[in-house]
Amino acid sequence: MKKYLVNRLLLIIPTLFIVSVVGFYLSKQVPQDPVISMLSMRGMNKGDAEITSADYAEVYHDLKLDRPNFYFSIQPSNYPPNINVVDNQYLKKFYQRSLSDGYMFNDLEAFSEILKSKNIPYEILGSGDLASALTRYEGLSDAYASLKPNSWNWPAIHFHGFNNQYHNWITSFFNGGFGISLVDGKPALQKAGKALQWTLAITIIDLVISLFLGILIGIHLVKHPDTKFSKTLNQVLYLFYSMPLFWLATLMIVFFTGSGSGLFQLFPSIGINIYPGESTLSQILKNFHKLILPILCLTLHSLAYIARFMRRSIANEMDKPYILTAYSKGLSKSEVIKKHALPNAMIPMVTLMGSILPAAFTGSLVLEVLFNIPGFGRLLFSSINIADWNVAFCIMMIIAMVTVISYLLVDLLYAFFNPKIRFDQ
Amino acid sequence: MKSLVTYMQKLGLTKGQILSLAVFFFFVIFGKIIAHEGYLVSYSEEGLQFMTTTENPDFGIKAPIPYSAHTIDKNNRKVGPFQKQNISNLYYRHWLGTDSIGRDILAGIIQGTYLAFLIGFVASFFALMIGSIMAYLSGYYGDTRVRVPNRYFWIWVLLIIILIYLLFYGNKFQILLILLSTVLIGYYLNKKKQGLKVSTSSWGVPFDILVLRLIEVFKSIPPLFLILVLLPILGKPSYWNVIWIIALTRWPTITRHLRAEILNVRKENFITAAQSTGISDGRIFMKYILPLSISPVIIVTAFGISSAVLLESTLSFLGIGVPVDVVTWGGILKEARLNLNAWWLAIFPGLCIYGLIYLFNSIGDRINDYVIRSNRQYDSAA
Repeated sequence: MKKYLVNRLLLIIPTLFIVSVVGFYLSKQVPQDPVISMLSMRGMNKGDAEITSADYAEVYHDLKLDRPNFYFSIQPSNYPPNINVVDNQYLKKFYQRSLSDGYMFNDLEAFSEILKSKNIPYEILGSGDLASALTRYEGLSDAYASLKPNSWNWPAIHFHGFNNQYHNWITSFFNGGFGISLVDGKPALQKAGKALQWTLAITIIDLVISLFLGILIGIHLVKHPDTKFSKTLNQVLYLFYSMPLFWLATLMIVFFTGSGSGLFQLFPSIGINIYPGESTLSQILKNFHKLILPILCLTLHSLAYIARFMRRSIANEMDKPYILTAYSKGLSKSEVIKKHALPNAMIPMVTLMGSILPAAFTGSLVLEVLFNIPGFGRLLFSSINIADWNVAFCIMMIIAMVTVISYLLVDLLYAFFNPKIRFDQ
Repeated sequence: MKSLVTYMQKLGLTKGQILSLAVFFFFVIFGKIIAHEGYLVSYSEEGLQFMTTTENPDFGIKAPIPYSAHTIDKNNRKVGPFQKQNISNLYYRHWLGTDSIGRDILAGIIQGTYLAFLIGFVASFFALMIGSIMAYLSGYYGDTRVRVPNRYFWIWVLLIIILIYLLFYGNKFQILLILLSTVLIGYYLNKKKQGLKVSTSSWGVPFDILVLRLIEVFKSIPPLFLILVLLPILGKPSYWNVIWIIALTRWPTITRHLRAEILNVRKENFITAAQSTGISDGRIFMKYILPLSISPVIIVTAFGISSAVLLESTLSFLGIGVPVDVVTWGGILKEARLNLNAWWLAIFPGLCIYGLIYLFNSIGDRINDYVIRSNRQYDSAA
């Protein structure tokens, strides 16, 4: 057992490492440019044309985007060791496009020197039809046509040392800082923490209610399977089980709030009141009447799932021989369920918790968007949209850690509930 | 056709479910004809034409619903099904109302059926393909079944490194070449081992460990992050991107189910017997393992279809993924989020999504019951 635990704990490290590398790599592929979004956040941008290349370069160096991406790189030999030193967005894109076509970097650099010497803005390199754009300037087309791509370039390895972007980010992760948000300069962890409180306020209440009621309903459905009440309840649960959460929430808003058609105004209209200067917790408490409807939607959704799951797993246990033994001892049906079937039926429930917990942290993006709640999912959504990677990575790593740890907990609880399972084999 | 229906009945599907499936496929195939602006068939001076918007032909047949999904009726903006509509006769009535720019909801729903089918079935099919290959590698081969003499092991490792490099910087031809040679060399080495004495100087290829780690990494990255990051990377919005991403987020579930099933079947004596006769692994898989583990696959696929439809409609509802000009049920439902006082926008498209998810969930449940029942018969017979 000890050996298994140590093994599992050690396996967490490579998994998180790979998750961080994959997340980092993917973020580098997203076309959204953090520099542009930061400039537009500062209000300097009213269309791309007004960003001067000096502004761009300044922010580019501020964000340390000129460092290499990773500790090493394996690239075709026509690539330069570090393409990130190019601090002009059009030039960089032009280089990247041409390099992947096999052009030599030295040739391209010479070509860009010609542009620079003739005071031609780099913007023309970003135009869709490059060849016709170049004909407007004398001699450029010939210079461009004289560039010849190599058909095959051998791979070359470059080592960049510790001064790279991934290392910067991962050390800030270990220092617990996660860097600062591009949008408002606040620490990313603090922003994520605030959003997480909103999400957890909803999901924890939902989980407590639906687990408690779900287990009770599951027991009831197995105990009295043939009554009219049970049959109706089963049907209703099935209806909610298949119902998409966003549709349920939309219908609730349309029919039961002041924001909708106003048919029955049972709940307050959607949207959260912001009380500036107060802590997130007190904001949540003051807005609690507004959170009732989203919690209700989420609870209906998860209750149907958990109750059906519980019913099925208790019913599976009821077929087994040990239940027959329990009956033959003279126990009543409710005693058999509570003392014998339920503990065993909880084992699959533990597995289910392993996937419910990470989902509870992610929260429901749909609900947060519909009800305008500043939660975790919406923060992730908006920070990816504006390339605010520090915040997005912070959220990604928190969810990844919760996922890995909850899987580990599930395996341990599994062994706790079912001593037959042994890990040291 | 008839055998398909009998097969479905054998799996325990009710008549209602089969009928609903038939109706769904009817709208998938004929959706473009049922709702169409203009004439389906028209005859004028230009001759016989199909699916045109010709005005006043000599002879023409119109569709049952005279609107396409994109047709904008400027006179009827955001009118409900029971409200007074500004139309010339009953034929032009918007039976399910219109949205805020005057598009007919019924036409949108009918033409959106095709995309619901495409997303549900094609994405599930892709997920099934990836998932079953991974499950086969990890479940059937495990960590030790494929053994490579360690003299040759590094050749294989080198080829795989080259393959990964080419995936980033190579062209399709180079990738195919290296992929083929990797597989062939692996196959050759594996064959050769059978001729050699099984010695200590061979290493197992840890397929099981690799696939399980991959699943763990996939599960640890929040799906929302993966979707939001991959969509812009894949470039111009298109529903094929959404299909691939849904497949990418679905395959670990399928692999986990199928792997467990293959692990169970692999231990059976008849597999050992088949292996001892010397037939190939692929044939053993196709002939003995797949038929026995097919029912869990069908169940997972049925649930997979409903969750693919759910995921796509959720993405369209949020306005990410599928481009605006592609009609989907989720996209129509998005209008309801922007016009909360128009109840018809929320009810009808939502009901379709709900119906489809409900249908495939209940089909999955029926087949699940059938499998449990037949397993019980098998157990009591044995």
